[in-house]
Amino acid sequence: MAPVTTQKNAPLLEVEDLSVAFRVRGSDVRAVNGLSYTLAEGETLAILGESGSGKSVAAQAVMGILDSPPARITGGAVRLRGEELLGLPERRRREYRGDRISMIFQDALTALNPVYTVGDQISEMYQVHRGMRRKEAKAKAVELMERVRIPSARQRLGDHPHLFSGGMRQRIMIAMALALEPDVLIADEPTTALDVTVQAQIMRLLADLQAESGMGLILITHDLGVVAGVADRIVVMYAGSVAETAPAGELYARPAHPYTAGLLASVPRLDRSGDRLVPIKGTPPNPAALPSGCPFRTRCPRAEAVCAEERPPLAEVAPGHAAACHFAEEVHRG
Amino acid sequence: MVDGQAAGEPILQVEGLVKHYPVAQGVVFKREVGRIKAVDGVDLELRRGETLGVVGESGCGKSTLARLLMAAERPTAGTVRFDGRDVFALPRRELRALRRRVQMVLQDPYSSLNPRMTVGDIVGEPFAIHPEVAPKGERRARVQELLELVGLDPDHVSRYPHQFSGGQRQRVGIARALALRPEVIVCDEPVSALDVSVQAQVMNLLEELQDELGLAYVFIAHDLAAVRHISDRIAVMYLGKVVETGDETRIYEHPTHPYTQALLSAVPVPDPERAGLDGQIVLEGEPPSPLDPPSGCRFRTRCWKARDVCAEEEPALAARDGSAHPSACHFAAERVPQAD
Repeated sequence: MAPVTTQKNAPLLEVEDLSVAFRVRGSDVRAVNGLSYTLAEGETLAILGESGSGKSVAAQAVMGILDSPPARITGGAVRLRGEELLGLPERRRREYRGDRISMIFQDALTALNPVYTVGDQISEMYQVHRGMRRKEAKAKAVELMERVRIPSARQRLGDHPHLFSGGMRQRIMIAMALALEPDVLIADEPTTALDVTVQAQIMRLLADLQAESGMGLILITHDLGVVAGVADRIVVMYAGSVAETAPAGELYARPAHPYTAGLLASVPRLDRSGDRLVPIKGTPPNPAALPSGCPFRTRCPRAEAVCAEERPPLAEVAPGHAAACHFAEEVHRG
Repeated sequence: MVDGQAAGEPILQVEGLVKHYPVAQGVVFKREVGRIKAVDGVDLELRRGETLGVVGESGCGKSTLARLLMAAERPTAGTVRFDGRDVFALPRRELRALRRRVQMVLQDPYSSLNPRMTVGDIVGEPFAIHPEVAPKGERRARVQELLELVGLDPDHVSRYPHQFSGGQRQRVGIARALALRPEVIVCDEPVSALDVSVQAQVMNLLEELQDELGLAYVFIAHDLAAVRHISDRIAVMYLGKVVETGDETRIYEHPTHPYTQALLSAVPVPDPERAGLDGQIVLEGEPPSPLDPPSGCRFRTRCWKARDVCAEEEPALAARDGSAHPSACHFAAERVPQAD
């Protein structure tokens, strides 16, 4: 565990009013619009959103790997144990990246370097960040590959990424992300590219590793099912900001935002057959041309005049359960 | 109903279907070093007006099966009968006439539409190959009718694919598939590239069209919940073979093949009360290569029930003591809920 140098009572990770814009043909497209959430030690926070909701861009901003230009953080704060990360010089930031906060991605094959062996790629983490010698770092790499349950780890150390299956590559990514025992792991759609049976293996592995290490886990996904099994708390993102946040059980049982309710009604369930699905009309809005007021109002079944005029703030409907809807109380009552 | 024919009679019958792809090595003198057994002995039946769901993980041969059903590829062995006639034994002209009656909807609405053609041209293109369906003068009206049928604005005929969202593009793909008034549509992962909130729109559209036009669907997907929702009957594939088949409720509520049981238990349910990781069967490893499938039962290398007989003898897809519907397992039986 990295030494704790800052305030004791601060949450592990705190994102406050984060905004990110992209410069596109001379004008700003706002991909993230005042996003706030906190993550406690040992907690699993799921960030749920469709394409264009800004969920991945926000994660990249937290991780400090935004491509800028064209992207630019236009406001807000990201604090790790109370320490502000935005605005740190790149050299200082690098000490956090991979070391205190690390990230895994959807597509492990493109995230791994095809010309180096996996042993080289994992042990590089120890050589660069911890100044270990090659041999020592290799031994650590084997240990780590065993921890993520790669069979015959020692023999496979010299293999290149293409020789591994999809599930095994994702395990290698996880091994690299955990090498330095980070405080926070951000998993961006970690199982989307995998088959269901392999997805179950990876989700279980992540849950076990988190229980062992006590790290905070941010799980970014579009899959309502994956989230239900593992998350403690859920943030539903829509058009770059938080539509609703609640403890996982609450959110599924009593959604307070029409978007969340709509999502739940529109996914077919494995444990039920038959009934017609109730889709949400229309498609997610283009971030370059968001509707006035509430960004969901053009697709919302209960939108009224006020929704076009005034953007609803995120307001609490129950302890720890908040939604950004003018009618959140009513939706919550059901 | 199509032309007054009764629903429930078989329209597509697949028997012993096999497709192997040779793997060659050598620069000048190619020699065959192996065969990828993509589809390896599949029997299926599709009845008029019904939806047959085909599920399986990547590499199980479900997309190869789709191409064979479309007669886009010739099988290594076996037959596909459409309305009682062997598709691969037909003379060219008749095959073309038959193709009109079986159409396909593809996964990716971005790459399956030509970006240089207007949606009107895309949806109307099938008429150029089968002019007997719509005389030249009527085509534009027919295209507009089709767009309306799939819920698009008929005035948008001269727009290009990039002006539409993913869900709308998939509707264009469906309109194109409907142009020739087919009886069967093979849908290969039709919603998996779409956003969650849009998937339901497209699935509902497919269901409405089925009711309206009496279509039969082969619905191929890896999303087990979507397949259950839309299908009447299900076939579960593993490494080129059907391992279990039956009515939707039989397969989802009383599966008897260990692979089906593991597959279903691995699907996360969007309900924290029921989700959890308990009660899940987490399989070891990943599907073996179709280049060199295991002897006997192909699932035995990952199966917790496997015994010696599984390596020696391939289990037939048949009803057994423990299974009222066909299941290709020597020890087919319903799963007993575990105490823990």
